[in-house]
Amino acid sequence: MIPNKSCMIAIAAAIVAILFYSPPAYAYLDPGTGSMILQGIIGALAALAVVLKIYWHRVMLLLGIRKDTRTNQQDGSGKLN
Amino acid sequence: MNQEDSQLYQPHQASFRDPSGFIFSHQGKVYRQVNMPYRAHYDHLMKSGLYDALKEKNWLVAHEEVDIPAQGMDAYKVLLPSQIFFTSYPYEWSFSQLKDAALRTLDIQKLSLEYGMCLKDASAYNIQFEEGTPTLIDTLSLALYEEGRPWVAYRQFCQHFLAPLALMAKTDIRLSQLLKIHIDGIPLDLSSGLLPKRSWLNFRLLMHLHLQAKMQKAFSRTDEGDRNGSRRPSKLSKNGLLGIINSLRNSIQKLDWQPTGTEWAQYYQATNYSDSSFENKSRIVAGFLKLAAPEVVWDLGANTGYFTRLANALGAAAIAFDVDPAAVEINYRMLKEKKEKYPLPLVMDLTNPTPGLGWSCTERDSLIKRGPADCVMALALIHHLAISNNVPLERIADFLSLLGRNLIIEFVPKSDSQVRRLLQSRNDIFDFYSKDHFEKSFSAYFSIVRIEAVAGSERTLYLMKRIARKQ
Repeated sequence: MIPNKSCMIAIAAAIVAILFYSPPAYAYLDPGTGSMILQGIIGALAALAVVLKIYWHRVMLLLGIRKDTRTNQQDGSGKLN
Repeated sequence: MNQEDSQLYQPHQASFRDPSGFIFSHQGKVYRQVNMPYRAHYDHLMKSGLYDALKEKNWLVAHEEVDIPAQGMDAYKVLLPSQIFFTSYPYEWSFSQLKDAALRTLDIQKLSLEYGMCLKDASAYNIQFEEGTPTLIDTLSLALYEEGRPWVAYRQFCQHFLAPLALMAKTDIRLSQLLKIHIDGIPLDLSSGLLPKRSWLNFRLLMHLHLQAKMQKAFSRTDEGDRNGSRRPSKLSKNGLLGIINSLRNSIQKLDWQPTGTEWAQYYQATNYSDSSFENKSRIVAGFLKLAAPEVVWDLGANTGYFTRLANALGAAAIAFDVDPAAVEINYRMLKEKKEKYPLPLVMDLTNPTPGLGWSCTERDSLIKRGPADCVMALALIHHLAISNNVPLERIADFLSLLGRNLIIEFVPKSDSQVRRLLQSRNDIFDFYSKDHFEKSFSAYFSIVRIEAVAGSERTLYLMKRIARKQ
């Protein structure tokens, strides 16, 4: 039985997909449920710390205590560091 | 694959957990096969510039892609990595070695994120000390970063690095040996329990160790409601991840241990040599080394590595083993300060040397399996084994013949003040401990090539060559 053109295309696509599909080789390790949840919490705290830092800087600017130096440090370094 | 082919490719005993690829030996060299699941990650590593950046800093082992046939249907490429000089394990490292390995892992993680990649594991066994610097040897550890996912290797990093370092610094330096029993790093609940109560006041240790231990325990119970895995996955932004990495880095940077107060730390001040006899000893040892012309030297009981450096100066790559973590620490600090590439300082108890560990007892090699060296040096050592540890001279000779093809050894007689001190508070049951008996015992395993008395002391130096064992 000779497959028709659309069938051939489907088969070719399937072969290409199988050859080039890379499933996530990411995690073979068990990351630990507790550890993942903790990271979520720490991450949220770190993000909050960054916001607070910006907010604090703005307050100080407003009060004229600090000058506007326009720094762009968004590397996530906050109170947890 | 037929019988002949399968013998050419020896898969490595420690390389089997990661489906991305594995290590194998072929004709005396170690190769790494990369499998299809890792393809996209590998291509990105090479094309994004991360590989070049890491290679330039000597943070990652360099490799070449080679054309030898791979194994299995799943293969993508075969790599020939730059060969490792000597495999050492975290339980053999001093405090600062483990600390530097930890910091290097975090720095690699930070740099990788700039190129859209991330470490998918953070095992201390992925770091080796190559030419004095901690280097990542597992190229396949680097994976594409998916923003929003928590760091899958965070727990492993804390168990392999943060927990042992905190225990060594705050509880007892000897706790690094727990890494021998727990081969995936020290469990967090055990670490938490062993750390002093004061460590709960340290915010970072509180989060990464104590709190993580509690959370691990809390979520390890499989409740009925969670059985179907309906828990929403946690999210972690890139900035959050960077925050965690910086926090871990600062935590480790602040941990410190001072190598003082141990038995051997002040050794060289209190030895048995006049200055000139020390010079004579150095001269004789250098002469023996030139005769033996070894490429690899193992200096046993090396203390802070004075004679090991002599071997290095004469062109050998040398390893300095000592039982005292303080001596090894001092040796390593000296190495860093002088920016030397050798020796490799390691902690080793010769009366209980590193055994084979891990899966099938072969995943992590024993000390003996990692030899033999071209030349072993056993200077100012034999009396500690024979007298302090009651090991008969024949057995010492037997053991040393397993470790090296040549031997430079110093016989320390009973008249020596060090030996007199050892015998002070015990019965002298060591009738066999004499120069004649020493030469006789060792002649069963070695042929004596040179004998020279060290002028200005009671000691004698020998150069010996291993002979075929009598059955």
